[in-house]
Formats: sequence, C-alpha cells, structure tokens
Amino acid sequence: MARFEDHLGRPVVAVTGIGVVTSLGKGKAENWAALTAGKSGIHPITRFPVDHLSTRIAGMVDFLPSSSKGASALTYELAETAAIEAIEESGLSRDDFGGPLFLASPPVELDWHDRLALYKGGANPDTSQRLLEVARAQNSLEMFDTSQFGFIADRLADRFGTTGLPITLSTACASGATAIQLGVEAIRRGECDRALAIGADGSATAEALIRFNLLSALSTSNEVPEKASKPFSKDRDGFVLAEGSAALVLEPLETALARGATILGILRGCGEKADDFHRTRSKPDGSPAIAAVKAALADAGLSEDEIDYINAHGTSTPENDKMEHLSLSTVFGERIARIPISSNKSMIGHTLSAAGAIEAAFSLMTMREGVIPPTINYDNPDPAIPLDVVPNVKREANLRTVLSNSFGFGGQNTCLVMAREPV
Amino acid sequence: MLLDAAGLPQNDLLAVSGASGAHAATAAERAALDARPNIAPRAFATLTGHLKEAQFPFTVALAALAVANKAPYPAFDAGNEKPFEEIPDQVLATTVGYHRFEGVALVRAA
Repeated sequence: MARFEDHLGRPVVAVTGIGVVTSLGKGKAENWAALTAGKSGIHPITRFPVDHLSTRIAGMVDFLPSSSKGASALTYELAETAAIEAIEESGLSRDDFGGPLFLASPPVELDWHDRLALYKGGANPDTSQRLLEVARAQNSLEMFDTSQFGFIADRLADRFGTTGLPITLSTACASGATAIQLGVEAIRRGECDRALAIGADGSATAEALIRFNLLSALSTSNEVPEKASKPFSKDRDGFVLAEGSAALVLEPLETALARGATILGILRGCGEKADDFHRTRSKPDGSPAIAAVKAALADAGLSEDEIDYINAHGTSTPENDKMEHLSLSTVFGERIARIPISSNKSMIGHTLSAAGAIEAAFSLMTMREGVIPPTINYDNPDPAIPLDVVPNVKREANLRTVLSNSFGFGGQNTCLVMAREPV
Repeated sequence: MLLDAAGLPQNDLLAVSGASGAHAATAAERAALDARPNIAPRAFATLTGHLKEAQFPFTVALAALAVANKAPYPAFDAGNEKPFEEIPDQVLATTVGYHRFEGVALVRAA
C-alpha cells in the first residue's frame, strides 16, 4: 500500500502521462530508440541563410508542419503535440482536461516573415512612414498575437480545456523544470486534482543564434554536426541551440490510483536558487547550484546517498560543465565519481525553455526502462572533471531515483528529484 | 462568470477596476458590473494610464488601501460612476486585459 502523503504531509505527486518531441523525432518511442542508440539529432541549419555565421548547426525540429512558420507557430505545435501524447497516455480527456496549465516557452518576437511583409507592403519611399501605414492598414490581430507571450498558453488552454488562468513562464534554461515545479506545488497546495506542465521551444531563430554566439556560448564545430555537443569533454566548445518540447500530466498519487491510472513515476522534490553573480557567468564557488540541488533533495526527503543517477544539465560549455562538476562534488562528495551522470544534450542539444521538461521526461523513462542513455561524443575526457558520464554507450541499471539539473544562463537554477516508485 | 465565482456580498460593494479603456474589453466589463446594481465601480486608468503587468497588483493595492483606511474613493468620473459613501469592509478589484485574460480579487478587512 503506497503512502499518499510525503514526509511533510503533502500529497505525493505522480506522473501519469508523458509526451516529447525533439530533433530525434516525434513521440516517446522515436526519441527513446534514438537516445539509447546514442544517435545525435544535431544537423546543419537549413531554415535561414547561415552565410558568415560562425555557428551553422542546430538541433532544430524541422519535420513539423509549423517548422517553417516562425517561432510562435512552431512553439505552439511542439507544445500541442507533446500535450496530446501525454494526455492520451494518462487516459484523461483531451478537450476537457480539468486542471491548470503551466507552460514554459521562450520570449517571442515578430517573425521575419511578418516583418518583411510589413516592409514590402506599401509604396511610400519613406521606410518608417511606410511601416506605420502598412501596419495601421493591415491591423492584423493574427500577426499581433504571434508577438504576445501569453498567446500560446491561451490557445493551449482552449484546445485542452485546462482550468483557470493559463500560466506562461520563462526562467531561461530552467523554464521547463519550473513549469513542472509549479504543477507539483499546485497539487501539493490541494488546488487541483491534475496539472499539465509543458516546456516548449521552437525559437531557434537567426537572432537567437547570433545572440548566443555573441556571448561565445555556442559550439562552432560545424564540420561534423553530430559530434559538436560534447559535454564533459576536454575539447567541449559550447552548446548547440536546439528545439523541442515535453509535457507531463501530474496528479496526486491517491487520485491517480483511484481512477486506475498507470503511474509512470513520482515527482518527489523541487528546489531552486537564484545566482546573482553575473548576467551570464555562474558564481565561482558554485553556491547557488549547490543550494538548488540541496533544496531539491530536502524537498524530496532524500539524502544525497539515495540518488542513483543524475540527469546532468551538461550543456557542453566550458563553464557549465566545470561548474556542474564542482557543485555536484560538493554535495555528493567522493561518491560523485561513482554515480552515473549523463547529458541528453549530447544528442539533442540545448532545448532552452523546454530543456528542463524534456530532461525530466527522459529521466522518468530512464528509471522506468532501466536503461541510462549515454553521453555521446565523450572521446577526450576532461581530467579536471572526473565523472562516470555513461560514455558513448547506453547502460542497463536498476535506478530508483534521479536528480535532474537545470542551471540557467541568467542565474535561474532549478533541480527536480524523481522516483520510479511511490514509497 | 468570474463575478459569480468570487462569492460577492449582496450589500453595496465598492469595486476598483483596472479597465484599460480598450473598447471591446472595457464595454464587456462595464456590462458585467452594470448587471449588478449593488456594485459601485471606480476605474482609475484615466488617472494613471495602463500599467501593463503592474495593473492588477496596483488595483489590489488600491482596494486594500480603501479597506485599511476605512474610506471609499470618490467617483473618478462622476458622469459614469455612482456615489458610494459607506465604510468599505470589502472591496472588489477587477482586471480585464485589453486583449486577453481577466481576473478579480475580493479584498476583506482582516
């Protein structure tokens, strides 16, 4: 008989549905087959011209109908596709979900299709006047909506029948984990019997690429794209921009079991800690990341000895991987060298706003399947950060618990602790 | 629907409205408030402009100030807002976005 309340007397939160889309494919089956085969989804960019750009590769999702229609349309389709898979698996209603929606999605801007259409839409030779005239005459609600941060969640709320005001959030690279945290906390507060948490990011635009490049954050290993993302390697040279989505259906364990749902895993704990050191650099002593891991363990009611596997943030930037090793060594001590830790980003790249959700989905599948997806491209280990990264080849393992890290560029750190079975 | 869900009192009720002035949304809010003759709205955006993300927190703060000070606001627009002279022990705060989303909060004396 499972316990329905956790160590703090709160409802235990179960996962009853998972959906995922990445550059590796649509749905859990395609993704899991590729992940465990050590296959990379990183490929040359074809969506926009890359002449004179120092990075010309990405993990874009190029196979959906909206892939060429701009960041807003693609982010919506990614979120919708993952949510359909998750809700169907949960057995709940697809058009009357009946719980709140928490969506992690990227900041959006007017797409170039629309900017150029405005630019070319009139005859006035005075460009700024022409843009104003065309925009006023067109007065397009459809175009306006694509530039609104809350629009995607609004559409999803109507599509799936979620309740209350749909929450759109952005905590940078921690966003997907934050969406899950908000869902968990809503259930723990007793506000709802189910929550839909989604991370979706279809914003691998030219601007995003150039901005991250200007921060020296991206890999420029363009020649062999599938080898570019190499977390924890000595020759790692940056992350690979990517797209994707994941959705989780969360329910109190008691309610889920009462309706006969299959329990895919337990969301045991969430922890977060802001890093105030610098706009893009992490605090040299790693204290914010350390505090986030400790907070998640405390929230889960687990000691550091009870974590069987770590799903790393593992971006493949020189800074992150060093900092992640430092933080984890501080929390886990000498045992860190023996805990398997792998980075899904070695295969899918960094899906930014979606990463925390996608990696939580993969963490749950890792425990359920008893197979750890590898860190691929681990050909030149960095001797300064000795870790068991499950190099290059998947590994069978009996895993009861996972820690999944999301350490955001702008200082937002969120960690999730998940378990295979209820206690 | 929101007003039904808020569990509003039956007696006369002061409301601080964050209405933006956007034609369709503000007309809809006004119709909903007008359908309840016990509500006396006070819409402040003509005085402040629309504060976007801060609009609703500011609205709730104004409602709380009225409750804390035991004093109603005068009509901001006497042509459109009816008088309210009682000591408000509860004040409704409303926000209807200029394009999407809406919410209300009822602030009560502790």
